[in-house]
Amino acid sequence: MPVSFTPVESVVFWIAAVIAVMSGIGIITSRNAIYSALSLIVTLAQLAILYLLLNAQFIAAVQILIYAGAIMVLFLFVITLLGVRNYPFVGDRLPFQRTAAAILGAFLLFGVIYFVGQSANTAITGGTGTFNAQLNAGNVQAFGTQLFTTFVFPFEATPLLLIVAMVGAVALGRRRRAPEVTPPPALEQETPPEPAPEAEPEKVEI
Amino acid sequence: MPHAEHFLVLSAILFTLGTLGVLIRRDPLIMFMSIELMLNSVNLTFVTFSRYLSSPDGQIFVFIIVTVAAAEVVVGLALIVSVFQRAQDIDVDDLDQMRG
Repeated sequence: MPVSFTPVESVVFWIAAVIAVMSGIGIITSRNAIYSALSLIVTLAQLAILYLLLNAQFIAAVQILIYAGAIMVLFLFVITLLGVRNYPFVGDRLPFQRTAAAILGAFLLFGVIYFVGQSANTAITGGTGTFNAQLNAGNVQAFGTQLFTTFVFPFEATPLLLIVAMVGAVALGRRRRAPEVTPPPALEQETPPEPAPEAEPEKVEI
Repeated sequence: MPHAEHFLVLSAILFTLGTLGVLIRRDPLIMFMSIELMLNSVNLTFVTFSRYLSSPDGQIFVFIIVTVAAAEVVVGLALIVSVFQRAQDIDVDDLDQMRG
């Protein structure tokens, strides 16, 4: 079925898109990591609005709950754990890095937009299925039906992934006993020999 | 009236911003947030095609991607904290101990 938006939805799209791009610029230009994280939360919220416009209510809820609710809280927790520090943008080891990044970014942007303009007119010829025919909560029902029938194996594989990640995080964040772990000699030379005891950060318990 | 191209171009812009963030920043946390931005722009593409092709497959992809992103964030932040505990600094230019 053809996709059409009401004028109000068009206004919502443009507002959300502009705010998403502006806060996306804010992510990579903020000196402070806290401001970057807050800008990323704004971007994620705008993307949730766009998902609602695209009739993906479940994904919009997941976006708010998991991304803005869980992942970004973890980010903010780690930022405050490590202390807020301001890094300069680019190191002095690669003086051409910023120019190269701008050129490559421009290439990437125009390349992707070019291929979008090339392919979208022929690839999207209007919906063939019946998934979005029902415009409201029936959509979520169809999503759940597909998730638990056709895609049940990937869905059952995600808990394995999550528990592997959790075990890995616990193993990485474990408190190390000092006499048992001897750092390799190369590492020992490069780290400062005597870190001040008060500068020792809190060990994490994840 | 937004069309599919508008959503796809917005996704391309956000993906490019994420790429630039990875390329020009030195703070690994901000690089990590840029990677999240790239993942989200791809999610927007998936949802757009799910809407315009009337198929739920794209939304299921997005669901799986969000799960993978959560796992990735947990492991990545644990790595960053672990590196910080060893080196007391997380400037990525200084993390060259594995350089051959």
